[in-house]
Amino acid sequence: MGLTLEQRRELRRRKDRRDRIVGILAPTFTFVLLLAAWEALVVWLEIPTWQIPRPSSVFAVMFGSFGEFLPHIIRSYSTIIIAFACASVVGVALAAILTNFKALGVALTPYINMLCTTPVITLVPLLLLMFGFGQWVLILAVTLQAFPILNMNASTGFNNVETLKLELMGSLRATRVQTFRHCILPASLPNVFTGMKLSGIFATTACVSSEFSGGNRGLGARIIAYTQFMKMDKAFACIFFVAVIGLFLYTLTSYLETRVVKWKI
Amino acid sequence: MSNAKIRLVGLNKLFHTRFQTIEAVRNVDMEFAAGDFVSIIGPSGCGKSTIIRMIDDLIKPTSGEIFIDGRRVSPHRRIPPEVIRKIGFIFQQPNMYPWMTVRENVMLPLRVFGLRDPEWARHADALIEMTGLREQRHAYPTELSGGSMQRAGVIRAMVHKPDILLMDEPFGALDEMTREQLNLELLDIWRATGKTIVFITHSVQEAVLLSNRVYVMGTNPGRVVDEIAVDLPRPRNLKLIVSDRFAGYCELLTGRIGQVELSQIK
Ligand SMILES: Nc1ncnc2c1ncn2[C@@H]1O[C@H](COP(=O)(O)OP(=O)(O)OP(=O)(O)O)[C@@H](O)[C@H]1O
Ligand SMILES: [Mg+2]
Repeated sequence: MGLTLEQRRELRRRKDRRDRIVGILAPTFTFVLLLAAWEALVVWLEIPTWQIPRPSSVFAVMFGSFGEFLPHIIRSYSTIIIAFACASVVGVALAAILTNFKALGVALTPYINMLCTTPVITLVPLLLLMFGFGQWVLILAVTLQAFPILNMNASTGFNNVETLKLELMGSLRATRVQTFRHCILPASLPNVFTGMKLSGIFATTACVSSEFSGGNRGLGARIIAYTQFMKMDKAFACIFFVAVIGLFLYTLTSYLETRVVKWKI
Repeated sequence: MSNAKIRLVGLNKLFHTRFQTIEAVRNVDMEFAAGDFVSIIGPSGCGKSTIIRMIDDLIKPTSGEIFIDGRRVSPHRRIPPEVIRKIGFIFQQPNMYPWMTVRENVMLPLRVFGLRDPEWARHADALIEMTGLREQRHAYPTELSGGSMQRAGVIRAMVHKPDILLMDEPFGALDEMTREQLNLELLDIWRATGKTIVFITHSVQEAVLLSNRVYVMGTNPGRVVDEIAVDLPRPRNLKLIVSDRFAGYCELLTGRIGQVELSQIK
């Protein structure tokens, strides 16, 4: 091709921008369509609002009673974000350690996998009983649920770097740290980011389910309370707020991935 | 004879797999003089890669000795760093790291060796310039042609100024034209730097065009079966390829490889 590198990259960037715009517009359109259908169905079938609220009234409540939700939003969001950050660090660091020291990896991996498959909600009542209702107990619980899936994905990446790529490091007699820094970690970044996306989802689910099981703070606790009092519009408002943080973490990770994994474009 | 740059004495290598033991090479003796250009040619599976990988200490010989600059480096647990830095290894595939730009890839050995002096970076840039990769130095490997990538692979192995280049069928995957071009560039580099080059190839023409001497290997087990000196004038160029003497050497070499294969059928 007669194009210079810069020109080719510019074309690439333009295409990416187009893709991004479509990537935002298309789902938004679906969203609006779904809400309209929901609204129409509720009106036509005359479903009582204490069963299923109309989306319009949910939105009205979301903004109208925002002050009422705010402390719970802050509580849940901070739990999720702090736990997600902890899980990211722990998940990747642990994977690095366990894949470098094989015996340790063999000894610990089954239990980390068990942690991943055990719903944390089964532990929360115990933890709350032992440590009280402090937020850090929830953060601990959510971290415990969120880091193993990242650990698993990152380990898979760290363990499966192409032999040829490692041999280059071998032929340069690189140290373990150098090999990890220059070869293993960058080669595994796609796995790490997949792990982080899953970890964000796990964190959101774990946080809300933990709040279900005790206490009166956080969006999970509010969903239970509002449902009991048949305030379905407010319950749904909380569900939407939960969806927002889940989506935010996912989008954030995807964005980071495109920034960091530049060579993949 | 012991002033050889690299000397292999009675090298044996066994690979133990789950089901069998493979005798990859048996009793290999080779010598590479300083500044020499020597090729190793032979059928697939005769242990060419195994030999070159033992020289670079990527794998350990089962028995036998390897000397570099008269120092015994194998069998030893670790080669001293000053010996490692004498060697540049070029893989069969370009083996560029896709997450680094061309320039970062070329500079990688400098980073690993901790050669932070700006003089080294200038040297890397000079090599990039010399191989015509300047325009592409900030490109990622996926944006490059196969030929450009292999060029980058060659200069990456040279960036820390090693005395020895070990090249494992470096141009095997390239088309004929690109390959000839790179062969000529390699000859230029060799003439300018006087490095000791050990070059593995499948191609008789390539071996004759490039080397002073050719080791012919046979399989089952992998061993040296012949050693042929290529007494052609230097500097060599593509005109040489159409000369009778060149054809003569190619025929001779093809004959030797053919004999090896025939004797294996018997
Ligand atoms: N890591 C290994 N484990 C087991 N067997 C091996 C290993 N590496 C090489 N071998 C065997 O040793 C023999 C020599 O292999 P080697 O790669 O050195 O051949 P080669 O001459 O380089 O072949 P080619 O021209 O196809 O690259 C082969 O039979 C091969 O199967
Ligand atoms: Mg080989």
